[in-house]
Amino acid sequence: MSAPEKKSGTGQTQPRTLDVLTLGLGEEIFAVDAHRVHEILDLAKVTKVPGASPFVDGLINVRGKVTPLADPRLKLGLPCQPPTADTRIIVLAVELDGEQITAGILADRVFEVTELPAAILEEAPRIGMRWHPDMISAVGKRNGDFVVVLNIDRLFSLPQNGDARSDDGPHLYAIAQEPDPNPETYSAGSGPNASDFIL
Amino acid sequence: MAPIDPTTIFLQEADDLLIQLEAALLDLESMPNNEALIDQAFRALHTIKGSGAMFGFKMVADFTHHLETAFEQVRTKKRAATPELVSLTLQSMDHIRALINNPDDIDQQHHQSLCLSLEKAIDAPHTAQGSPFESNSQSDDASDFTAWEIQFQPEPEIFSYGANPVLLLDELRRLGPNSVIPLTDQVPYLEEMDPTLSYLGWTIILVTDRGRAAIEDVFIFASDEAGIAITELTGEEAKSALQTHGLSVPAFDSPHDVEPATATDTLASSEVSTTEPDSAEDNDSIQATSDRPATASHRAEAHVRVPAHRLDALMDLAGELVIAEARLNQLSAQSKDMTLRNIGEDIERLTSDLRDITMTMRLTPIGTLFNRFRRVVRDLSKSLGKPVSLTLEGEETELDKTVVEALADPLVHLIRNAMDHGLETPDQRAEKGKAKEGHVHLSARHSGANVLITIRDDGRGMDAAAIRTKAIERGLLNTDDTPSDQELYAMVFHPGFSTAREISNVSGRGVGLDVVKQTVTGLRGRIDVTSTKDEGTAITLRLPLTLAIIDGLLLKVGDSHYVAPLASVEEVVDMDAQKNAATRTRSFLNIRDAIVPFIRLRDLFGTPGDAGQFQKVVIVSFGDMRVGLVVDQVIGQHQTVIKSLTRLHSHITHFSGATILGDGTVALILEIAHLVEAGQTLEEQQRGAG
Amino acid sequence: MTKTILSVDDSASIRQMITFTLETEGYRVETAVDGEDGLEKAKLGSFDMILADLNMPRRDGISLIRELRTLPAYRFTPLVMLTTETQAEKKSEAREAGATGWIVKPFEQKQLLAVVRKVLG
Repeated sequence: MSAPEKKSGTGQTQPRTLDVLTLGLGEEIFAVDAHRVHEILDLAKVTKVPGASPFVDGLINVRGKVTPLADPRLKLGLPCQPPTADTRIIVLAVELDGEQITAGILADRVFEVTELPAAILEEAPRIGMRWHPDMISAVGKRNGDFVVVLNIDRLFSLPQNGDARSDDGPHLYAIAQEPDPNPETYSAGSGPNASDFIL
Repeated sequence: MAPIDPTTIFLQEADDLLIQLEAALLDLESMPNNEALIDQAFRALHTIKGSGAMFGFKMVADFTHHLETAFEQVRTKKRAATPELVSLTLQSMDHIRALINNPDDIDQQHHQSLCLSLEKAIDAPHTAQGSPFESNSQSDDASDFTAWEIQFQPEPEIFSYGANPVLLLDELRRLGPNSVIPLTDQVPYLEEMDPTLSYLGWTIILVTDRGRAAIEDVFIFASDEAGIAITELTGEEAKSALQTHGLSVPAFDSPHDVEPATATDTLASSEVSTTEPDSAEDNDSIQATSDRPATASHRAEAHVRVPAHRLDALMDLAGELVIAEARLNQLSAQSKDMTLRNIGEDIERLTSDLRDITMTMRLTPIGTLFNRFRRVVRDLSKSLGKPVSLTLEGEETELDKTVVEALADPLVHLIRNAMDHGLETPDQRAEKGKAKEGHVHLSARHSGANVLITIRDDGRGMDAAAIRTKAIERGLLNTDDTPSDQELYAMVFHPGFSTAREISNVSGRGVGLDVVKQTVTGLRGRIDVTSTKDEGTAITLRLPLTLAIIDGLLLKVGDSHYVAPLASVEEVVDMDAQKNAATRTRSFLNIRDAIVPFIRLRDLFGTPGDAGQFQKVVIVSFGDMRVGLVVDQVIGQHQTVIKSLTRLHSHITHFSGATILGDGTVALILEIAHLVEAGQTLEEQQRGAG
Repeated sequence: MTKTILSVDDSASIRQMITFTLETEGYRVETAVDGEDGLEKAKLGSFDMILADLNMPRRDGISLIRELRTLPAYRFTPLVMLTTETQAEKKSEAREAGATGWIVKPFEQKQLLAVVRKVLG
């Protein structure tokens, strides 16, 4: 098949498409695994949690459940604009140290649920990525634009850019530094192994 | 709802009874002549035996029968409650538990040997008496057919106690082929007849293979005044009687002697008391006679057993209802519609009652747990060769059942730890001039919205220097760190601090002190340790009273709402009045001549904007310490359904959880213990500086 | 017609056991938690038989039976006492109060049924 399979070369036969929800953060288009998404909400009142990391310093009420709200822009080093009428909250499942929690992430815009076929899960540029490669599970292309599929679990668990990895200098990461630990077990929605897509 | 299987009820009841028995036995060790205790043990055995038989636990009933016999003898002063008997009974008790819970997994050898020791101990003939439960009246044991002549002349007043002679005749007739001849000689003239009296009598010829007992059974309720004669017909008598009455029975050959049995062997066979209305009295006498070793309260009350998950579901629903009610209340309060407002108030009252009842339903006295430890201490004391006395205090203290259940293992571990490591050997104690017998004190008490559970020993105390060395070894501490003794003691609960893992097999069980800590933290509690060399160690678990709903005081700081548990709030004072004291440099209030440090929540939380002029100080307390929390506004009381924070926020010590307000927004719940501590630290710093 | 039985006992498990046993056999069972409750329920309802525990808070079984027997509705109704072996002397006391019979605790389900059938037919 195509590029992703070359890397692992162990002949797995899962369908190489991914249902994703595409969203806009600043000027960029990102995507999250659609199977993780519970619902999409309009922006409601957010309660700040003093002392929390700025990335996830909010709490919202999602159907009677107190749910943490994160701003992925802070982890991705994107500018934080004040909310607009387009701002949405995506409520999704996050796995943290083996525990499932439900959390919300802020998006400047939400586009659609779509299927990223294998053919357009392109080989990402080898260098010059702005984000930490661990936060990304794949890069695809849609209508000519790059779509970066976020690794939600890593997004929540990795330290915020600049706070723990400041010695990494500017946020430029080479892609695919990390050998795929377990290429056999990829399935849509199993966060960590989704790095399979990256060469 | 489907009826609960009676067996399930028996299992639950037996569990309680065994706990009562154990408590009584342990007390008997020190007070072998206490009649109340003997009665208590006897009754527990009695009921286990009886109910066991009732619900099909024959092995349990048979086995317990020996013990019951022994205690019956103790009760009637034919035998003493010797330490050997008590010990044997304790052992047997464990066996009963096994027989009840794992009847398919019984070590037969162990069973036999226990039976033997019991029989030896109570001098009982080898199950000669058998158990009294093999009721023969209903059994299908076929004895040969026998002919009987039965004379039955009920007393005239038989109706006045609700009996009906016709029913008795019917019952007799069900036993076999029969002939009934009415005897009318007692019947008066009509004008003299009292319709409420019975005048008739009967002669019944009956052929049955059920024996005399079955016939006597029919008349079991007949009074002494009734004329009842049961005669076995033999040989020619029988033949002629049968012929006369036209009865033919194929199996009837030549009658044999039928083993006589008394009526009381049948229906009235098994007996035992179940609930004892006089137990309260017994209880008092136990309390009165036992000053040191605390006895549990075994008051037998009427209880309905409810599966725990249903209670949990009810609690969840009550929680949701409280939130929904808050929203309704907010709407109705704004409404001009008086009817709506009235309904709103009704719902508010009902919701609050429902909440309270639901919460009390979940409360369990911690005594149930404490009692288990008496056994732990006793057994451990024997195996360690350290005489130890255990005293209990505050067993009646109630807390959420989830908390009680979760605490069982951690407390056992702490007790084992105290006995294994805390207490010195008798010789060491003697050298130090201490009593040879070590002492472990277990107490529970309420403190505000918390329950404090303390395990105190009078052992050697913790060695701060040794802990420090070890902590450095384990990389938990840098060589130049200077933690306080308190902080050092707390380190033994650190997962990386492995003293707990090196312990003898006694404290083992794979539960380390770190697991204790983890459990307590998981219950939103915390652990405090105090220790004095050679005087002992006290470990206090502070746990929230209930896990789910609290009365809160709703506060506002900036745009955000916060909730303080109302139980920790002492009073609210105006900041204005305290203007002088409240300067930036000296954060103290003078509350009725006591200096109370205060914390500006705006500063602590980094709240932007202006505080406004009407700030309030909420005085909260934790334990003996108080601190003022400066807020922008006090909004009022709020029923707070506690939602826990995810691990994304659980490290933030200012908050113990969050809740959802009437308007749907989230408010954080202040962790008073932490804030009070922070306030006290602040005070110490300022005192040091000032 | 379905016979209705009132079980008066302060022990929930006994009540439950009685209810379970008798309802399985097609009787209708109502329960009361102590003597007073039993008397009240008996007055309000109409029962074909009443099973009363001997030892109960707020009016014991003997007093309950004595009181019930004074009511026209229960003058001839089977009233059965639940008692224990150690309270043998209570049996005669119960009889004097008007008890139809007694069941000695603990009892097996079939014993309970035997007694109910005996007095209820």
